[in-house]
Amino acid sequence: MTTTDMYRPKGNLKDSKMNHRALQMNRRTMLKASGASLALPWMESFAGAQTKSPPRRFCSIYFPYGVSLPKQGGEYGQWNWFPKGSGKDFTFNKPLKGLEPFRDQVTILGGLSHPKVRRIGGHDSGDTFLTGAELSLATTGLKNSISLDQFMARTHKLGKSTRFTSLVLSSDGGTGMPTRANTLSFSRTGQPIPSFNRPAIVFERLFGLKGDSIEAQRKGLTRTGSHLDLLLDEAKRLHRKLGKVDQGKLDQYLTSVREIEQDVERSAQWLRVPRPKVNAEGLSLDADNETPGKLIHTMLDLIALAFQTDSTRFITYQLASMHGAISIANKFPTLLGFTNNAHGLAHGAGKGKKGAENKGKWDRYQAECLCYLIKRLSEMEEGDGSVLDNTCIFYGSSNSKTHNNTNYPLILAGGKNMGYQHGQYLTFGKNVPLANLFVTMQKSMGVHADTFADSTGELDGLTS
Amino acid sequence: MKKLGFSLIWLLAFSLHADEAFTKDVLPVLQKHCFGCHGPKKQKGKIRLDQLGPDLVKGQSTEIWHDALNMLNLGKMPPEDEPQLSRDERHKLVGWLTKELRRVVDARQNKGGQVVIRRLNRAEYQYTMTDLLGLDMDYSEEFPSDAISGDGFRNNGASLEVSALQIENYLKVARAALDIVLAEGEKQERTITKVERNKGKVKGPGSKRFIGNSSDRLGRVNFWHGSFKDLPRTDAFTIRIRAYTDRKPGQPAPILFARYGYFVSGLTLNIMGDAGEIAIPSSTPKYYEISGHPKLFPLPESHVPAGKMNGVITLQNVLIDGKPATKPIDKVIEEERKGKIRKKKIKVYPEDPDFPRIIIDSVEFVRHDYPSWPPPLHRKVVPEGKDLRTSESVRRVLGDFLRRTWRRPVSDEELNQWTAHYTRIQKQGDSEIPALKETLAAALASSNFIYLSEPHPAKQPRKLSAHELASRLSYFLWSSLPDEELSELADSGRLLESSALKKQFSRMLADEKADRFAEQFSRQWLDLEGVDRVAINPQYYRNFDNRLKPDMVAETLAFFREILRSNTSALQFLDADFTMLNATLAKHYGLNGPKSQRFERVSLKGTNRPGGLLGHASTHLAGSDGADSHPVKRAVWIRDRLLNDPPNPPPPDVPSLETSVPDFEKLSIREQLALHRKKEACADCHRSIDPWGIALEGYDAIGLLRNKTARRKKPVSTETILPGNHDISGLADLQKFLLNERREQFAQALVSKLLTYALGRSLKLEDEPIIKELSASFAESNYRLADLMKNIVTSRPFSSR
Repeated sequence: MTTTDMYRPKGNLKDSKMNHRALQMNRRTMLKASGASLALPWMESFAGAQTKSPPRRFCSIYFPYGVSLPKQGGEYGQWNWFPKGSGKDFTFNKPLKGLEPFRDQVTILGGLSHPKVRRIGGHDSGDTFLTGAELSLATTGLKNSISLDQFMARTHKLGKSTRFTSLVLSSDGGTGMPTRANTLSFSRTGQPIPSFNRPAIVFERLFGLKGDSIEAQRKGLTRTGSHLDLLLDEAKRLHRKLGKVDQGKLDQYLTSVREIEQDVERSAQWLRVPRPKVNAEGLSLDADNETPGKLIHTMLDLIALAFQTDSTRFITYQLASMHGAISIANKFPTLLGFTNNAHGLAHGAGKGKKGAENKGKWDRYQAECLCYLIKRLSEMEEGDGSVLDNTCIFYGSSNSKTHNNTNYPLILAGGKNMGYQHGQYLTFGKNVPLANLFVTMQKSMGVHADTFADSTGELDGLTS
Repeated sequence: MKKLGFSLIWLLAFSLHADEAFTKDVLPVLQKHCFGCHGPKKQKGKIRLDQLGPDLVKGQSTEIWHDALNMLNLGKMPPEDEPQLSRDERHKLVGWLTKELRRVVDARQNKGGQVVIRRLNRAEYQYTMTDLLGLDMDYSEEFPSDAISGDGFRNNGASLEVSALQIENYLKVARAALDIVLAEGEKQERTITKVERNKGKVKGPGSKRFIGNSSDRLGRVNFWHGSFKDLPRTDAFTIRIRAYTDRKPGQPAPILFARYGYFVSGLTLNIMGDAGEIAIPSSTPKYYEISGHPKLFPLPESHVPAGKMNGVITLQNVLIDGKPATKPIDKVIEEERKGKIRKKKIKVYPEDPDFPRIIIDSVEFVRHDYPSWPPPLHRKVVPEGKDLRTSESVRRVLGDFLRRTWRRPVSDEELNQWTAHYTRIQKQGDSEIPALKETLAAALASSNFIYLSEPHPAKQPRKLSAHELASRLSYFLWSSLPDEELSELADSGRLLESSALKKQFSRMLADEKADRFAEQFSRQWLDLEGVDRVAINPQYYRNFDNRLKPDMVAETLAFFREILRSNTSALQFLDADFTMLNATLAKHYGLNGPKSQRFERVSLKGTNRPGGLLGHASTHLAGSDGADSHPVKRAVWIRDRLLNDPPNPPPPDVPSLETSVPDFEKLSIREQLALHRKKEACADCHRSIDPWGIALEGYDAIGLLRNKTARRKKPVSTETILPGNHDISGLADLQKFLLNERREQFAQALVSKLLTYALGRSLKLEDEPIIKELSASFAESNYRLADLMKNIVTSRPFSSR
């Protein structure tokens, strides 16, 4: 047997000429069954104490390149993403038609944008959706600032009472690079937080099926705890020997180890609580970026399950990163039978009827994904209502169309118990920073802070 | 003192020169068109330009100038009712602003020096762990993907981040691997269980598309499916398969693909992972072995009792011979569900009699399959006679491991610390081996392991130590740590001698592990991931099989490796009389080629298939939108990857031509681009971008020749004018142009890309002389890659930091 015959190139890291017995551990696991069905509602949180009121949750979903915006009332006006009319008196155009059954659960917001982001390139605004930072080389050296989810979950510690402080998802995974980040979430120091993009791994993390016994896990955590001092010690010693720039880089390591220190403590407490048992049957955990429909909907399922089991209260999900040339998700529309890739659809949107319609249809598909999540959450009972009533969903893009940095298309959904007055289409003037909405949202979540980024106040007319 | 004086004068002269250009070319344009409204008399929009001064790097004016450039590009300035800039004026103003702004970016990026410390990227971590432990497993599976640097590489220290998740993964993966490597207790009896085939209907593993019968004869459709009791949770196992093929002469060897996993009694689903592939070339029965470890496969939850866990093995013939699968036949079957018999319509795929089959004689499952005890991998870490009984042997074992892992000598202080750590863990109630596992796992999460660092607090360059040089060399050529021979030369310091370094370079390049360099570098240099980012639109390519995409990438990877390994001219990247193909890709191109899936050298003489990278389907596909060619994408790729001259990124918020030109959408891409170039705001950049891509218009999204576009069925034209007024038509002309007119630029581009990869950092102004030098010797050596690499390794930047 010749060695080169043994492997078909699969495009992974494996050396295709390895000269020993075939052994490939490509665990593209086909997870299907896991026994018992869902248990553990939010009230059985680990402290054992019965929580009085249901948890408040936040989920943000982002898509790039804005939406189709032909002239309202014009020939192709029905493909304009924004509704016709205003206030309570509005009609959905075609792209958002699917929201009609949830009309009382959503507010459409027009006119808002991040003022500082208007100064940077329209290609560069993806990273800033939840931060509002002026991400330019000249002013910030491409350094971002904290994102809304992390501000609430970490800075204001709202994420401390669940197994996971937050969950960061995307289609591309990892962190990407400045201005083309593959994540919506950024830490206190503006560091990108790596995102997960594979359902099987997210499922494993949330509901863990793997073999380790509780005892073994506890031992592992204790051990991890005991290593950290030594690891810190060593890194500090290295730190002293480095130049300034290198030190800045190694700081990431030091910060991360300290972060693990806190997480270890928390995980140890959580060990006493069995992981929620979730039936994976019906979840397409093997979905990947060749099957985007399955992939997106499985991710949405996982978001719903994570909320329902109160595994976390903060989730961000980037449907695609900003750069057509870099995001793997750029091809999703093509795979789903649309006429072009995402970037192509956006740039084609100005090209007459067909263009507006083609892009509008893709906008509709993305909005239907939001509907799917709303529907799932509304079907999950909690207290007197549903999980949706205790979840604030913030959906949208930081471009109005293609690479335009004003008038973001935004939807706020759910969170009835947090005081939202839905069923409206609100428009705002250019001088209202989007961060004002963030302040409203963080307050509704229970954060006692009156500002976020460049906010100038709160948003009127949204909450009672 | 003299030297200082000289550089001062030079600097002065330089800035004078820059000012001169500004005063002579730019200032008059500003005076004529801008200062009227943004000058001493009026400051429309509160913008005043005349006081800003031309120094964008030092001045505070960067953002205002940036805005000014945007206004120009957007066509917003000058306002419509004012006199417009002539082409020449626009060229001067936009050119100056763009160049100066780029200088600002460069200056700010390098502020305070460059990042030198760099984290191992996913591939490097994968290879390092594999070489370190000798265990082949997927170490990097759960790691977040690495960022790509501005220059296109994944090994740039400045772009590689570390997060808590990452460090947790290091610990987790190291523990999992060490659990397999380090053995505890007494050797257990090696036992062999015969695995019986389950008869009856089988849904194909991983694919509901197939419903076949479990069979001993594996063609395109049937599966072998068997199960056994008492699935092991630990200890290495081997699946031994006795098999042969009935292939006819000239037919390729079929490929046996195994999956291994479990099912729990009472539940109906099999949970499996891929176990590996093996070619079955022989027509007489032979044993083929696939070895593994249960921990590398999904395992049932810990509370499932052993008696309920059953092993499953499926075997499948996965040979792809480029021919289509057999057509399905509709069939009605009876299926029992909840006690009721129901009729159900299914598709059945009949076997293809002309397909080379695999015949399975027997399948055995071997438990506790170790050639010796403790197993060889264990002995690699804990050698014979150092079995952790004495503190001295613990110290030796730890010392050896840390030295290898950290790629440098370990100080007494460090070793004391780690030995103490081992003792501490042991005192927490662990026996020797578990305590060792934990200690080593921690060492594999240490900053000394996951970073390649060359500590140096000062800004001035210094020479690398022998160990630092060894690491640079091995990560350049092997994407992994130094082996014993290289480490010994580093220990003795001899590696710093140029002759020893050259000798090591040649030895390491000849090693099979250098194929990793070929793959890693060519993937990143040519951005082969671009192929994954494009989905082929089935509306226009009905018969396109997505499994061709990895083959297209493999062609380019194999092509690079072939040029490297044959030590022939790198100009073949521009044009060559051969390429590397397997059966399916040859068929796709319509060429005679190999009969199997192995990539072989195929001559292109006498065919109409172009050679070189520009003739590869990977290039065409990545430079498409899945339906039609994307000339701008292809053009940018050529200028960025082959000529190292990437065009400026598009200005923000470009007004679309689409809205201003009637029936714009009805024009062909080429006509649209022509309009683009006519409009002054776009023209400046697009005149120098589009022609490069237009030359490739003859190739469609899947790399085949075409006459008409896919969407609008417009005839394609490949006639264009390249910079310098070169009229060309088509790919062959472009290749000639590149070889004749841009040979040096290409060579210098490749030198820059290779140097960037070798150093793991972006290049800077100071690197210019060495790039020139390397390029000159590259040309002298007839553009042999290996020679260039050797010169890089012995160059000053490679041996200093």
